[in-house]
Amino acid sequence: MNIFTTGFRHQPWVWQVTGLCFILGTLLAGSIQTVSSINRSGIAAVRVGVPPPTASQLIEFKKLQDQIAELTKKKNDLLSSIANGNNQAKTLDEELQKVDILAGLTPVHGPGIILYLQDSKKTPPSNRLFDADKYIIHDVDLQQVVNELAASGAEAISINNQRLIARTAIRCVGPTIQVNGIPIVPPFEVKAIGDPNTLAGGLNLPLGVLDGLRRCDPDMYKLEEKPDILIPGYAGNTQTRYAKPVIDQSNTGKGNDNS
Amino acid sequence: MTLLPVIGTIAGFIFGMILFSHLNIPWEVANNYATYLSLATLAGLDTILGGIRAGIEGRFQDDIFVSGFVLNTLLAAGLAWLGDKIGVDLFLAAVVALGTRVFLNLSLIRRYYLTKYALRKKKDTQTSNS
Repeated sequence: MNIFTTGFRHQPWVWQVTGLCFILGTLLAGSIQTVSSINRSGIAAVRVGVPPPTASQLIEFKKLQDQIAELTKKKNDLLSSIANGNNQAKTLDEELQKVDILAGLTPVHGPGIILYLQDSKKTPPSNRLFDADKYIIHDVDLQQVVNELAASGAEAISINNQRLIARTAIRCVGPTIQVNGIPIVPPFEVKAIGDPNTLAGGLNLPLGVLDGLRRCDPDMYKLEEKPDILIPGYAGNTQTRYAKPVIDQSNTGKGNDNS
Repeated sequence: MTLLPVIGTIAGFIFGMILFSHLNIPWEVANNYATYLSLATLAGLDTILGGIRAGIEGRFQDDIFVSGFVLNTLLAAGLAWLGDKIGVDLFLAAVVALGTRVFLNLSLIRRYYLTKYALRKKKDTQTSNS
């Protein structure tokens, strides 16, 4: 019997093969679904890596913030009660106030500017990194803005209500920018106290900070001059572990560095 | 009628898609058994192609076919599991062995259909000539 001449259309094995083909199809679908669910969950696992704060954590956070505000107020009250004493204490308190403002430890208010910065909503002309990069506000942009504001005589600066002090770092950490170690996300609100005209002029210098953004997308920033704005004080850690003051004033200038 | 296995596969695929999307397997579990399931699928494919080949050659036996499907599937998955336990990639052995057989069976099935097509063409020319 030649196998090429016998038909097999109505033979029973076709039905059995069909039955097992059904099971094979199920297995195949199972494999595909499993692998794709792994791929999906891989992405999801990255997203849930940092769980959102729980309700009790938020309450705790609020409570601690209130505690900071209360303690700061108490400290100021105590200081002013000292100032009510003799003349010497009054001078000391005034000196302390000046130092606090310079160090950024107390809330201050006065005329200044508010600069809002946000990522562009425009579609970049191409997906090339160098093009797409320009449409996002980077840590470098904030650094340049802050530098320009300081150069224009700003006396107090804050970014998203994080007061900038001498020890502040502005750096890019993943998708966020950290200021004072606190992660912040756009839109950014940069507040600066100083002469509003000078501050705005400094930022608007040709080929300056805002010029670059304007060439890319004018909607990326909004600059407002305000007669009176409030900038909060620095609420973070103020301890120093390494720097020690030089007690003997006559020694200043010589230092220990040539020993 | 010869398309029945294909229709069966498609029906099973749709059934499996619906079934597994409703099961919602947690991904830690899925991650562990994904290799076994894929290997079982490969073993099933091998057995079915072997069955079709046997059917074409006229030596199909249903008990061998069904037991082969079940046992090959379990053995392939079991081999992968054993390999995981003793730290050798044993599933590669199954992949190579099964893959070779899949291609071999497929080539024989193709050969059969090509020969049949050639024979029919020859017969047609003979009948038209006479």
